[in-house]
Amino acid sequence: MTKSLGLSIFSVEPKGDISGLYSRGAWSKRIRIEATTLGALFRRLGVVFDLVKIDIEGAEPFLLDDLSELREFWKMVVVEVHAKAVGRTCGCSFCRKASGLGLDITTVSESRLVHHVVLKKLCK
Amino acid sequence: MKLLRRFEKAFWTIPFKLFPSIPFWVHADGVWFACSLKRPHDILIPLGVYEKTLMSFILNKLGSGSRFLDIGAHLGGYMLRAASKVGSDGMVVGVEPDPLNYRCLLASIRRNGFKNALLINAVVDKEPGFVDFFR
Repeated sequence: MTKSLGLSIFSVEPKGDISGLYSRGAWSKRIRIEATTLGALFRRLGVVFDLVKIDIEGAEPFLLDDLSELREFWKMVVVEVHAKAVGRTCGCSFCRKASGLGLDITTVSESRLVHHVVLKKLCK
Repeated sequence: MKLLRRFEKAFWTIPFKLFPSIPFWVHADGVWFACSLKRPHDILIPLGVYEKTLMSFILNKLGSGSRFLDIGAHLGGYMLRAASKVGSDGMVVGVEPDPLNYRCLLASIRRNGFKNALLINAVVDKEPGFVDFFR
């Protein structure tokens, strides 16, 4: 079963010019992809998830506010936190912000580069 | 000698460049995974070489009838295993932005015959719209 969010058109731009590297011969494929928000995704699916895993290559902190606003849609979230993006130690800004938003944080695994943390809703 | 090595390297990359979308299949934990010829090293992900602790944590938390959302599903290392664990009463949703990974994951879902899996090709971001994705 597959479902698209309505737009499935990809415009491929063969060259992008970043830092002037491309004008000197570097080449990279750049693809324009539809973006959606966590809120739109949850509301469209309309399901309460037992477990949500988020691994979006370092952009996870951007979803924290959305996660705290959409608590009715999830029971537990596992997030891969990139240490490089949020601070070297796991007293990092991500965890501080998450606890500030009223989320309980437990570290499942940690390595030099990434930490996997579990977020749960704190009982009020 | 240097030229010969360069030619040899180029020669072996020809099939990957000619047929990037043809998948090769990996069978692990009772699930079939499609990997792209373009990125043969991705075979390590379905084999479960990375993130073993997290894998066991996630699979322990899921049971029959659970609902699992995987944002950044990649080749389905977590998603496909979860789909086989939650059964037909459960539901697994994957979100994957990379078109090549998306096609591989779609092929995997079809081959495994998962009716409880839903796959979305999009980026999850702070704002809706379009995002430039570099490969």
